[in-house]
Amino acid sequence: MLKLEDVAFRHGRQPVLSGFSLEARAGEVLALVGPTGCGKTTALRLLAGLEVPERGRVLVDGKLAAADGRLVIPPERRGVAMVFQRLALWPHMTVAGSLEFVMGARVPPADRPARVRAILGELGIADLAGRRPGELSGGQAALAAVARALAQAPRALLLDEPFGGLDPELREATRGKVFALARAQGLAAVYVSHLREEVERCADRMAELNSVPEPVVREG
Amino acid sequence: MRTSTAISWLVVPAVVGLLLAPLAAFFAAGADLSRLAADPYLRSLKLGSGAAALALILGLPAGWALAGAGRGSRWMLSGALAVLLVPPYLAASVWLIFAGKLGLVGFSDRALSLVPEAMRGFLEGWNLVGAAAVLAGSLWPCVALSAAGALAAVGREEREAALLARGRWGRFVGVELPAALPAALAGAALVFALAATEVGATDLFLVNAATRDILKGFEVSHDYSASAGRALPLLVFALAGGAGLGLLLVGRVFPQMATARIAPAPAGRSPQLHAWALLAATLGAVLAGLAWNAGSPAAVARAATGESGVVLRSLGLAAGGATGALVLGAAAVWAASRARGRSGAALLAAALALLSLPLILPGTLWGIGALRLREWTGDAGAWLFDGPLMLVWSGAARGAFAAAAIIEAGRRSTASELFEAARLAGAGRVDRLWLAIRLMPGHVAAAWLVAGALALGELGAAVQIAPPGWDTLQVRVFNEMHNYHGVTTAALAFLTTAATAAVAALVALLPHRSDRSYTTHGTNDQERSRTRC
Repeated sequence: MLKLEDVAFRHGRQPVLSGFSLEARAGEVLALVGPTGCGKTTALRLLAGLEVPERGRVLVDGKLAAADGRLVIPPERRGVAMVFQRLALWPHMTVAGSLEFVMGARVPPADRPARVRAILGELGIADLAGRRPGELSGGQAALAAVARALAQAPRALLLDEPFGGLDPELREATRGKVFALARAQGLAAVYVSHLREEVERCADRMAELNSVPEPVVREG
Repeated sequence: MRTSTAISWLVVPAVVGLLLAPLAAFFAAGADLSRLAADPYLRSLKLGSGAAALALILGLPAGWALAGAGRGSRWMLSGALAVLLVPPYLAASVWLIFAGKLGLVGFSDRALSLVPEAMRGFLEGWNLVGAAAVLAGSLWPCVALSAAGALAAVGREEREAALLARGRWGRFVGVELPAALPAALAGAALVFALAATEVGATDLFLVNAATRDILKGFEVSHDYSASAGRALPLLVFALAGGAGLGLLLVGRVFPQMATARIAPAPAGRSPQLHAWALLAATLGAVLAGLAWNAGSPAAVARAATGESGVVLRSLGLAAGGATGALVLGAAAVWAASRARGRSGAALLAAALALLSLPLILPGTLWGIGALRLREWTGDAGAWLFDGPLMLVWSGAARGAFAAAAIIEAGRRSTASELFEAARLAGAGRVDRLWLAIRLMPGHVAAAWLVAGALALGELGAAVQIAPPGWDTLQVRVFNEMHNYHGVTTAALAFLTTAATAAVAALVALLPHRSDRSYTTHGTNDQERSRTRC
């Protein structure tokens, strides 16, 4: 569903990715692991369309989305949702308000409250609908960010270590819940982590990204 | 009461009292309310409203461009700061030279008789509309900088989340505008306050607003009570405005803004073009207008050499005022920050609110109050009131709020653990003070430079208190502009504007350079972009 082909990317003069390829398929969870600073977040941002590769191609559903410094499909048209590392919940909106906002024109206004209740219910946070980000605990905020991403009705879900701030037990429970939902909805999910052991047990495939210039990609 | 809290409650009132003593003397004279007239205040209201509305329209789109972190945005930031620091009467003089009877209108009238009688008042700028336009052109950065601060507080990931879900328009309407608009409105309220209390530009335009009414009334009668009566509504208004500023800066309103760090904002081409055009019209045109009127670089050099006395004197007095503003403003912030809990925040807000009074209220009131103090102290106060110290004092009073606000921003952005670690390691108060200076050199330098630019541009008080032989650049230029627009006057005005623009450029670059040295733990691109800026 999402594909990076031989992409290269630099921040200023510093190379971050070079000759890197990756494929995320519908209905499965791909874990992207590697040490801090190796370019995992950049790979997600390339898939989302928030960055454009200097070299190589990005494909969405087999269509060219970006290539060689050129953006072809803008981020909002890729059907991709992202849960950011810092969650990025909008401080001026309630949880329900954020979900309704991202639904936009896709869902008629009259249907939005029911849809919001359904998504929050699936994640077990229906009682948080009226709260703002400042009134949520770390775990609640992480689930609210996932709920917001799912409210976009995406075909791919990108998770940039969003549960890093949670204690191990809560992290595992939250991650399990989100992965199960992603698989059930047939999403292509990419989960970034710097802890290999953490994702080995629960991801369907794993790609390892070591430092540039020769990234090693291993699937299995 | 804890010792630290007791020190706070001693130092803050002492600093505020020292800087506001002439203002207290002005109003202590007793207000004769029979001289209070409604018409001048009505004009001030119109002037402030017009300037605020226009500044909002001009400044809000520029906020998007200023919120960026690229080199272009840095230069825009310095340009906006320069526009804000250049005294509005200099921009007013350019308007008069080019659009007034000395320029286009006069030429058209004399040579071609093209100007319709009904339009002449507007085109010459001898009216309220012209003054409001010039003040909006000088004060729009209040709106743009407020909006930029609020946009920066939103954060890049929050914007990107909205972009992924709703596209650019959705991001603008759903996330960026709700963040920027309240802050921009607060900036427009500040524009209203500064425009309604501006004295130099209104006097040049002959708009008999409240500030000019007070000035002219005092020049005619030297009646302190009548002046205090005329100014009483201004005091109430300034106190309300100061309280709003104080609450804003301690994070009681728009708490995100108080901790905002400029982060890369997705400024499109349109906001950037708008911001550059605005800077060209409000800073470039002023510089070009004054340079054109001065004639040639040689004329400017001749003026600088011929009038080197007043130039050097003004720079020296401004440096003295800036140093006083920095020391006193930092002392107030330091003392207030030592008071714990809610009382500390309230004390800091109150200190900032009161320190803003010499900036919001016309300098005329401070100057008249100083004359009043001079009368009260008689010969005993001659050493202070009849020498240059008075001008240093007025410069310090005008710059203290800005210095305190910048130092407070630096204090907030420096982790308290750094000082706690030093304390645990046995560092004394002097060592910790030195540590604070080392940790935020950009903020300290910016506070001094901004206070210096404000002191250099101080006019209202200097007109009243400058002793014979100690007139400043502002007094010289302003007085001569009333009579003629000679080459020397224009050259001196150009030098003032260029010096202020140079100061603004330094200010915009300084914090950037100092903050970079703390980028030690940025890991991914997001980290880097946040810590870098």
